[in-house]
Amino acid sequence: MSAYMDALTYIVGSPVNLFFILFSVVWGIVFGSVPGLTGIVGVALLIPFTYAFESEQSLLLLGGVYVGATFGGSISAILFNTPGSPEAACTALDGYPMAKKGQAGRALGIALASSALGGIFGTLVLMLLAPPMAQFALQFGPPEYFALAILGITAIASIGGGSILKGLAAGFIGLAVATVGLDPITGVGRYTFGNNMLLTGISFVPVIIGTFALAEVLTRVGEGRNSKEAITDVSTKLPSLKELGSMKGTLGRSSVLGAIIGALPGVGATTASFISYSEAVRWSRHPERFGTGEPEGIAAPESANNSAVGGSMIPLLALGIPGSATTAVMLGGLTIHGIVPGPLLMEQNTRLVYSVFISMMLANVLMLFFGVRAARYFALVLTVPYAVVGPAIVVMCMTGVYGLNGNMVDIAVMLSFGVVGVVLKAMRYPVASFIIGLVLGPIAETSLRQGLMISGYSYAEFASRPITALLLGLSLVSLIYGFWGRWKAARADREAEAAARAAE
Amino acid sequence: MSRRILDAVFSGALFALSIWFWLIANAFPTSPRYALIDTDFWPKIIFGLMALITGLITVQNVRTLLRERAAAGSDAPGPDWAAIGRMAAMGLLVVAYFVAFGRIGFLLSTLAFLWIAAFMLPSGPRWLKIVFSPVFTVLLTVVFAYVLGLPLPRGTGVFYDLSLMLY
Repeated sequence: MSAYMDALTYIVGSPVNLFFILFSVVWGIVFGSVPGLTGIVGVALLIPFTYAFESEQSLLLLGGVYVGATFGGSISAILFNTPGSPEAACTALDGYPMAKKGQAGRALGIALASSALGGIFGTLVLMLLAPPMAQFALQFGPPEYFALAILGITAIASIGGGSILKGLAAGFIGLAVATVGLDPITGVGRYTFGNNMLLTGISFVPVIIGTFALAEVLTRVGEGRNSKEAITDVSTKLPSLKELGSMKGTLGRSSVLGAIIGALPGVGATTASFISYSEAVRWSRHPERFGTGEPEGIAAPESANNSAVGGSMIPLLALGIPGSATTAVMLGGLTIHGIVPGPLLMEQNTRLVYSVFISMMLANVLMLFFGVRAARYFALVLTVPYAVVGPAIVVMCMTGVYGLNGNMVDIAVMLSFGVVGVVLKAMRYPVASFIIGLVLGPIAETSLRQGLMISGYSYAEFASRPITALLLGLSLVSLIYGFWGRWKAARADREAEAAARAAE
Repeated sequence: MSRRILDAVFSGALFALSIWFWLIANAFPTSPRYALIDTDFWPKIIFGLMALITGLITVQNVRTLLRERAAAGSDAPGPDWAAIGRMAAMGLLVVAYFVAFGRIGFLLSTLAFLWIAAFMLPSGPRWLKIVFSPVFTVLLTVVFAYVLGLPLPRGTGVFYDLSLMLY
């Protein structure tokens, strides 16, 4: 409790900290609400700026952006029928039909209340589970960390949707990029091709800014999309207690699902929102109403994706393993402050960890306030032409990356990985898998090699440790599950094709 | 060139690169102390598995391509060259900005980049495109140089001297 009081005093005692939480929520909602920008880009672009602040303040900022962006996606999903972020894709299914019926304010209110409730639930789960999990993780040795990293890579490839082989390939490209530089054990340079700048490896922050932010701008410019008409004349109307009460089953179930799915390494808010939506349909007495403007069709994905935010912070803070692509990017933000997340962080830097808990709670409350008061202004963001937004993001990418170390090489790395990001997207290789691979690569490599040394180079002994075996087993199950899902989908396609041919 | 061919070429290139990088790893210097987990240990696992996965994707792509051609007589529609052209034009502008960023400094390069990029893209009123560039450049300079104390490129020669007067 004293740790909480210390963190609370730290946050409330400084107006700057409160301003940072406020700013980060607004920044997050803006980035979340503009289609194509997403919370990941919001977090990535803010990382260089955090260099000027204390590590606690940096995490306040990044956590607040994550919270704000997850809700922000629903604004454009409801008013624009274009989800601002992937996790809000489900919200559009019922949010936009409700807005078209002239109930945009009500739809936004349900999304907002569900997001805040789910977010608060997820943060409570984080507060309750992260410390004991970190305590438990103190027993983890290199084999367990290796198995966790493998679980993260296989889970994102299997559950992320699309081709599993392409998901795995993207993850392996990330792992491959992480091999560049000095070998962590023997000290021999790898893949430097005589360039001394590469001995320290490829800097993580320029890579993520390039693959997410710059690649997004280039792709969007290529698409040449013009802005659609958005409904901007809207005022948020929060649901009554009676209405919330009628959705309590959906809200509770989705929040629990969100926190659990978010906590799985490599799986994030998008998966949580889709599963919660399908569960809401399954449990509903009127499944036929979904897709036509059903309130529970908004409440389920919104409570789940916001609850997943807290859930995905659990493996990051307790184990040092990112629970989602956004937390993988946040991990990059921590490294520039010299912070190594994991069980020892929870022991040695309690103020930092508990500040994150409290700030995320505050961010959810602030989000409620801003959503009610300022949704119409956030909706106006959607009308800003991309001709100024896109180039401004490029400038922020360049300036932010230069600000890290004051050198042009980092910018060259960022530009190169911008091209890599564009190519991966164009070829439908998931960029999130690439980033997870890049982040988990060094952890997996070092853990595997150290683990083998400890076990006397015996693979059997390495894999027979109970937690390692369990995690590796889960990795295998997630892969099999993914391949089985793809096989089922392919079979359904073939059957539909055959039926169409027979009908002809 | 169709989308399927591009897919096959890309996965094939990744396959070839994986093999090449595996061979490079094979030639890394060895250290007898860590013989069983030497420098090449992890890269060989990564590039070996990557070759396997990308090889499978290539086979899959080639099979789909052949099946589609056999069924329809022609393959899937080709890539959107107009989109690639727009992307390449913006990419070239970004590279030019990168060069100017280091040589003429942040202020002038950003001002010029924002104007050119805004007029290259179709949407938005003209007045906004004109006003946005100087306002955003000054705002970012103030935030970086005065609020956050982070470095901004100053350029070389006369541009360096000019920047010293401003930030």
